[in-house]
Amino acid sequence: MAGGRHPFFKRLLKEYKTLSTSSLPGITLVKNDDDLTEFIFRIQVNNHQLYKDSDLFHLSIVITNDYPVDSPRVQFIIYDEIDLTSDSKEKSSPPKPEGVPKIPIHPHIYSNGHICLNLLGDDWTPACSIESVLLSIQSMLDTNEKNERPPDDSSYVKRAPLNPKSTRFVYHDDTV
Amino acid sequence: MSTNPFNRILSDVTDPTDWKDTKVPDLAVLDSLERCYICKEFFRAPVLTSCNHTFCSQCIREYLISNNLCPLCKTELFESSLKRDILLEEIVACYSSIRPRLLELLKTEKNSNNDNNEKKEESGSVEKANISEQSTSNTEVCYSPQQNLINDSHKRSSHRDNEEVIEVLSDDERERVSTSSSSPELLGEPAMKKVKIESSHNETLDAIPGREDLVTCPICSTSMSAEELQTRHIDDCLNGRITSRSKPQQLQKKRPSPRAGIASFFKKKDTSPLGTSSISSVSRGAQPLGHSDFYFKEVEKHVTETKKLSKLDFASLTTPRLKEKLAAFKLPIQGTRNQLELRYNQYYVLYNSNLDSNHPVSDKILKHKLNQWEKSHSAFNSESANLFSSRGTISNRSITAKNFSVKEWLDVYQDEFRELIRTARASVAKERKERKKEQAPREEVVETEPTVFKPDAVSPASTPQEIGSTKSVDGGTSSDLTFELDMGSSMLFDSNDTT
Repeated sequence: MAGGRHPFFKRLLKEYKTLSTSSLPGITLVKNDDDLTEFIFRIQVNNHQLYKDSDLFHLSIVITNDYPVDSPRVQFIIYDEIDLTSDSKEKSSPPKPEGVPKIPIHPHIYSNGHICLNLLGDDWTPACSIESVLLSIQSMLDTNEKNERPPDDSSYVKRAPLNPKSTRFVYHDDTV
Repeated sequence: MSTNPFNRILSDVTDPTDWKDTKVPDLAVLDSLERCYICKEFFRAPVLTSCNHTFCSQCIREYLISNNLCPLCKTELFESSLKRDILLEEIVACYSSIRPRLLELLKTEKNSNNDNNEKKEESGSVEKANISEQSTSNTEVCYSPQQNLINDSHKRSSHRDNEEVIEVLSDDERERVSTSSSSPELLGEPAMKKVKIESSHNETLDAIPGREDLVTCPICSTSMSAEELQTRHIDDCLNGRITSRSKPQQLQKKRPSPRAGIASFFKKKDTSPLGTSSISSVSRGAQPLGHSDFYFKEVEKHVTETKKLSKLDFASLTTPRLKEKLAAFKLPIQGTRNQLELRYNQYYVLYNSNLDSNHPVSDKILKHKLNQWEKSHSAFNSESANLFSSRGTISNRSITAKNFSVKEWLDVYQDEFRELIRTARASVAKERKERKKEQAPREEVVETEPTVFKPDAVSPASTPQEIGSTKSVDGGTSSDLTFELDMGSSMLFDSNDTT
């Protein structure tokens, strides 16, 4: 594996260090691979009119090879944390929160987990980080008041590419 | 959170937050300011953009290959406008070399060394203030001289002492200097007041020695009180009505050679009449003199003569021509067209950023770096997917991707495909059976039995012969599937939905 590390492995280490030492309220690092290119975070939104405290939103962040020049691949996934406890180090982690894994309902989040967020596309700059992505998605959920999916959800989900980054979103809503 | 497999490596990772638990948590600010926004490391060969932001040369050049906007402010940026920042590189090198000791001292020692180290940092920021000082004096534009110059005015005055230009100082000023040297504590208070007033004009001024009320004119480098400079001297200076003595000095300063003289100050600190020199001797003595030496002495190295590599227009270049180009740089010429282009671009970035460094490395090292980079880049690893994930990453790759391997896909999902085929067959058989039951419930039961059993042949318990036959069946199905996948990908290409 030596030499096969991400060109910006050191930056990833740094980001990992801050992510694992300083805790962001409501955001937990659930899983990451040894190369620090794949992360799964759990986001919980408390005291929200739309989202229940027991809703578990899992965000998958995949660092592309050109990171940080290129934005990471970010999408919500349905992820069963209990499932994976059996196979690895997960056992020593803090107790699993009780709740239902879900894709959050939001006018900019498709039911397949794809997120329409300018930060993940055109507005990404290398000055952004995993942390800034997490924070902006959390605030996106936090400020949401509409209990709806994007208007074209069903047609998009049917034809959506596997990788949300290959979708060319048009960002038009500045209210979120 | 999972147990941390990185604990050992993580302890080596430096971060501005390292300062949080020290005696001077504010050092985190200095620490973060000396880091590149892209790689989050200390600046390596920093360059200044046309929008006045600083990045590592390599980072910003890599970024500019695919973008033309500043990562920080989104203004349009051209690679040709990048200017290297020699001083900053030395400052960062200097800082990062004393950083571990500083961290150690500030963590363990309670009082004795603490003051000392704060002062060390101060002298670091004095160097920083030098940047603005240098630029103002070079361009002969005087914004608000006393603000930027307070910090190092004591240094400058002492420097002049060494250079026997003490005559420039008036008697009154010389008195001040000697007072400050003999009893800096006494002078400290009134000086602080003055400094505070001045700093209120400028919030960015962060480190103030607080024992010096002399400032240096950015034009003729004469030390005087801020009041005098503001009221009378500046106008005189700008209009050329200055004393004949200071003029040649000003001219001298512009030529490279006297810079060596400036450097001599940093060495001869003990001869300086100022008591403050002990501070600089602590920091200077503790570190190799290289950083200031480079900046002040080796001026001839500051202008790079070596020509930068030019960007290639790949669209108008045939593959053989591209290979020729690579061969001319003694770079490997094997690989796909895409790899060749990536290789050239990376070498181009490495080469050009190396030229921006104060201490460039040899071409051999560059090629080694290039090789390392190729090893870490997925485009150079056909089975790269395995390098970047513990899980089967084929599932994470888009089937629309260029290098999507159908074979790999089939390998990974072989079992699932089989399972699907099995259930599909079973349900077909069941349906048929039921239909037949409806049509002829009695007679057909015996006949249908083989059909019902057929799916079972796929099960692991089946005989070798049967497995062989299933495989061939699977093979046929796979190719059908591949066809379907192709259809799917062509459909997916044009999914440019909007929200």
